[in-house]
Amino acid sequence: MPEAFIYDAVRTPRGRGKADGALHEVSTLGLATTALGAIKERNKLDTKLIDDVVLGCVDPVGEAGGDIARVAALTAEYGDHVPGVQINRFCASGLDAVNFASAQVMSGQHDMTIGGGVESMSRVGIGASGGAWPVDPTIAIPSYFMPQGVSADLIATKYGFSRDDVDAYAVESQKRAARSWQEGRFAKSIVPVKDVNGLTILAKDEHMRPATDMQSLAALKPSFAMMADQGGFAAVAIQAHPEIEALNHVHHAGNSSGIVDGAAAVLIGNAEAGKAAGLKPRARIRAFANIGSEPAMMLTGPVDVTKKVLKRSGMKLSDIDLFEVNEAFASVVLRFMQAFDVDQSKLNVNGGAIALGHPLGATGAMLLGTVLDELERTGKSTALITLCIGAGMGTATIIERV
Amino acid sequence: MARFDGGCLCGAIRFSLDGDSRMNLACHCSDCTRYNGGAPAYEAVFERTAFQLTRGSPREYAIKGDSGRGIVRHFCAECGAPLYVHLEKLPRHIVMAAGAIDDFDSFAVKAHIFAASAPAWHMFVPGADTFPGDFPPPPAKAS
Repeated sequence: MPEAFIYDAVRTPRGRGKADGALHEVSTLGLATTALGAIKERNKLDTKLIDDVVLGCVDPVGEAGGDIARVAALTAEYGDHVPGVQINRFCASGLDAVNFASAQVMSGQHDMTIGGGVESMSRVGIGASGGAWPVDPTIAIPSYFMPQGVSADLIATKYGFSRDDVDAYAVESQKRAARSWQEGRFAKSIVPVKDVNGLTILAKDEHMRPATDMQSLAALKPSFAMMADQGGFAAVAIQAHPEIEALNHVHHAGNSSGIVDGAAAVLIGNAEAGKAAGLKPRARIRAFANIGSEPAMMLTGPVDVTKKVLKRSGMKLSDIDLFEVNEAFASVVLRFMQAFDVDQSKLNVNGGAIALGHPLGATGAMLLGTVLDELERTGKSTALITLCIGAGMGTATIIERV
Repeated sequence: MARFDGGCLCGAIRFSLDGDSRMNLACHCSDCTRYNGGAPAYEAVFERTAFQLTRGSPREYAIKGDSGRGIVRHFCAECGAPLYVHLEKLPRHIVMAAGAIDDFDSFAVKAHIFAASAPAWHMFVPGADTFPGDFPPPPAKAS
């Protein structure tokens, strides 16, 4: 089986996903084009070598609809021959796009591909693409549908994470993200977003709040208590998990992932294609996996899929040098650390989505690029990237430097 | 959606369950130990609407737990086999004696509760959560 190598990874800064966010003026297509354009330009890439572009996008409607990957390949001037496909596995779409692109190479059917993702949450709001799960009783009732924030609170309740625990985690995420920017750790991957005149709109992640501390977070009220109590979801949580008697509502805007805009792209290829492009591989895709997990708890998929991908790769947890676990909510990461007894010094070392934000379709590819940079910076070898996913799923990828 | 059938030792009571177990547990509390004549009580928690009696009528034995809340144990009046429990704290659920379900193999233990009461020689199921007492208590109401 051909190996899939990572030749480059780029991302835009994450802009606050609101109408007054810096990237609100940039279309979804513009963001995706920025990432693809950077891959082409900085690698002096002959795009004739590119067999496909796979981009994640979670709400592919309106300006983000109609196969954003194909049109972004066109606007990035890859040439008419480069196709594109948009995929959606909710929050893991960006990582799965890299996995799909890798699978195309590993199957021997493609030689060089791009995986990545895009989401302009300020322009195409979360949930814009609808879906059956929340609204169709034939699936919502038997699968115990709950909003994600309620599931995050359920995880905290079941596994014993207090408000102080999740807030302390959030403070650390902010500290790490701020330090990483100060030390230039993101510089290798960041591609500033520019306007049509070439003037920079955003060159740095915009969502961070480095002054966050326990006191400031303590002032925030839980975000999901009213939804759970008045929407009936607290009762659903207890029906699904009778081992709890009441929900402990600990999550709020300060310890949950931020709504942001952004895009990312990762250049994947086999060894021959890399040589033909004159590129040196930075890492190989060692293994990847997807899994379904219990829908009511919803966000514990990273634990299940990590077990699966380790087994698939024949690796042990101790073989992994660094972990990136998407900070959808603090309890998701705390549960991961609890389940595997992972030391926080090896996990999300440059902060995560609580500080930096979570542009849904792009985040997975961003995490992969961030941890690859960190492996290179520290001289380490292997990393595992994983994300929890709506409706109860998990995706994980293991990369290894070459 | 899964369907399970079950019943008592003598066949006087039969029941069906339409749905999936929400929690499979092993309870080591002194009440369960005494009631079952051994420990632990292997239990599978279903939504109460999933349960239907298809033959016979169990007898009931009602007591108060240490918490002061009601526990109603249902068993066969003919053979004495434990069948299911209604807990006041879980008004929407029924706690089935997992061994009364024909497909007992489907209910691997996910959690041990009141593990501190288990005999020293008891071997806990690897990978199952283990709590010295009941499941962690409900949190204080958020302000």
